[in-house]
Amino acid sequence: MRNRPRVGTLADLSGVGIHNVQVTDGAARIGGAATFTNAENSLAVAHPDHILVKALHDACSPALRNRITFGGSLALFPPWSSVVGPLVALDAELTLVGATNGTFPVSDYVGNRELGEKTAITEVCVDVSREWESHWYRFGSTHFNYPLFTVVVLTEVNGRSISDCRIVLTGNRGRFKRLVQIEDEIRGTNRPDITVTPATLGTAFPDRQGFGGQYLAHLASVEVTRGLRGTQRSKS
Amino acid sequence: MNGTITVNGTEMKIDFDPIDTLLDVLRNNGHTEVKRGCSKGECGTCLILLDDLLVNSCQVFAATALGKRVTTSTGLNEDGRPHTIHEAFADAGAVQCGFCTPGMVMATHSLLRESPDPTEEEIRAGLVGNLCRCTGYVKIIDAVKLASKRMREHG
Repeated sequence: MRNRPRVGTLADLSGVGIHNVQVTDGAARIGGAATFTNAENSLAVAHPDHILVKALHDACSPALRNRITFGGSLALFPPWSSVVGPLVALDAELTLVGATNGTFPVSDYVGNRELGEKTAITEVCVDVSREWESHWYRFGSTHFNYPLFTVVVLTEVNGRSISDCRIVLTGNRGRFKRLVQIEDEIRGTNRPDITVTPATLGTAFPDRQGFGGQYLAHLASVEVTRGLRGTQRSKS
Repeated sequence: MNGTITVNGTEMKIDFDPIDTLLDVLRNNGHTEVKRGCSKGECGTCLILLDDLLVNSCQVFAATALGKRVTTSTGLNEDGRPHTIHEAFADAGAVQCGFCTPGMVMATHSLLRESPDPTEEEIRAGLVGNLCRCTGYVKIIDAVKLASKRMREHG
């Protein structure tokens, strides 16, 4: 490799015991150094249809899923991260050690870069006790390419009405957005024919190579609509 | 830095810089069957098994591989004979320039270990991290199906 940086010290975190995944008592505790494959396999035993299992299985390639860690993917929030959308939607929390110590919502962490400075993520805790109907979608020019956006739609249906709803986009300006306005509109109602438009998303998308921002917003709005209709249909 | 790794069953002493990847070390020590493509984990030509886990060797620091077992495409050979997967790739005409083949073979090996009789969709998902710029993938998918059939029939 050309132009390689000089490295004085290399710290290997693989032996510090933060690579385990425990799924007990309705919660999944995923170590910061757990790989996507570890997390997917552990979670899939008890929750094969969980939104996180779908998202992890869909990320990049089998070989990279064997190396990418949960903590790294959250800390860097790279364009290929498939975990941020589901974790924000599920109100997941993470534990930090270092310059900042404590437990924080994932949404606060990925929304505030200063929170992560000089810290390490030791654990991510996800509530897996609720039975959400879920819709996961990643859009890229090819499957292996970085997704240009992702959509997560979770609905909890009680009888014929939606008792709770979570909708999260990533890849928009601001990197991620929870569509609280649409969630509030839907909660407590039964609206299988709802149509989401780019305007009601309440966020814009940056222009990307081969895809204008307006076009991406249109695609995202279609996918949120599909997600809402699909998740409702499966329970009705 | 220095240490040992076991490559295809043979212990190998290595000297390396902290920034060196496993790919650097393997190629510098004669294992040129592990190809250097993108060095970014995007092309799959450098795939190997690290303690039986499929990884892009360009995305693994050599230091983290110390004391571990590495298997390259050559290491799949059985008693000096090509592995069934190697033969299937040749028989199906899935090799053109051959640069992507070692990585394709390793991805196929990992896929068939987890799913001995994969659907075409599963094959495409299993090889999603491997790029080929010659064959257009049709023959490669045929090769995986052929390898799967032969391995199920002959063990």
